Amino acid sequence: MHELSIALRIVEMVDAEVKAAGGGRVEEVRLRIGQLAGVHEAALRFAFEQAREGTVASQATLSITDLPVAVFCPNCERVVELPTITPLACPACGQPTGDIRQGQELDLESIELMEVD
Amino acid sequence: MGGAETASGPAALPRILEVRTKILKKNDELAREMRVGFAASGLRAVNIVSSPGAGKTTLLTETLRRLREAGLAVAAIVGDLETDNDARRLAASGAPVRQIMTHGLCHLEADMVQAELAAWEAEGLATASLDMLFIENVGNLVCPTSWDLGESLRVVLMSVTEGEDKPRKYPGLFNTADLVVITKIDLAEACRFDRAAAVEAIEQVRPGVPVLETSAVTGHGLDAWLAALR
Repeated sequence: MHELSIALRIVEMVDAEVKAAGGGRVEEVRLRIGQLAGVHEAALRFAFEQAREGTVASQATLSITDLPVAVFCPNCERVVELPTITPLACPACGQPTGDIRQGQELDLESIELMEVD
Repeated sequence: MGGAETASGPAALPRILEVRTKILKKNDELAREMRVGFAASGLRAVNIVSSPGAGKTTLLTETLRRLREAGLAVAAIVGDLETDNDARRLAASGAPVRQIMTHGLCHLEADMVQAELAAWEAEGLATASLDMLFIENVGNLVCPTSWDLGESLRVVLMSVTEGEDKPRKYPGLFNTADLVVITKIDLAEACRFDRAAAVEAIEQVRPGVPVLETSAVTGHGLDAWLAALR
């Protein structure tokens, strides 16, 4: 359950960003998570619900963009998206490649904020 | 709420704050700082990761013993949810050892390692004079994946008793390995371990990564392992 550590970091970052922006109520927190990041979405959503309590994000929903793994194939000389996480090989020509171009993200993308009087 | 009009005019529209930042940025930055510090003092930090029971502590105890015999200043930090059993086992090597009890946390983070190094300093151990620092992570093939501990070498162990397809079940972690070590190789035959299948599975998730085989009990492969650490 490292998702709780991640959820706590998210809430910490959201709090800092919102304070820097002059406050407000967080409507939505948007993440980008790669399939190789080792994060279980349901576990993260559950952890976030606990972590957001009593913070500016206490009513925020979590929006997660799931990013498939994409690798650069030296044979085909292009970036190709993989249909499954493994094997890390070009789906077109079969060439194994560890040159990962997408799929390891664990990013806080943006925050949707509503002004409060 | 939402788009409702109020007496004072239209309700405020939501603002979008673009953040585009790694969630583990703080950990990444600290780890980078630590790695620079380690490099400056000539210390090599090794992060050892595996499932529980793959043989991290057994291999590490023998590793520490042999490196000390070779005249190197080595130390180890070991993380577990509970007990200091592993620290006591590792201490049999004669090397300085510190136990982190995470009390439920499933992985180590950079600031935890930094705190142990500071505690060592406070006790009079000059960590800058160490040649190698081993960090035995919490036994777990998922959670340690994204936490950089400032290491210059991440070693993922898998034992012959675990099944050849472990890398394909846990691709995220195996994908971060700088070196994969197949442990308990002395049990390979008894377990009907299929070496080619294991190497193929590793290759599928981390193409090109070096793979070693060891037995901390018989000493098989330990010379190559020690050489890979230097």
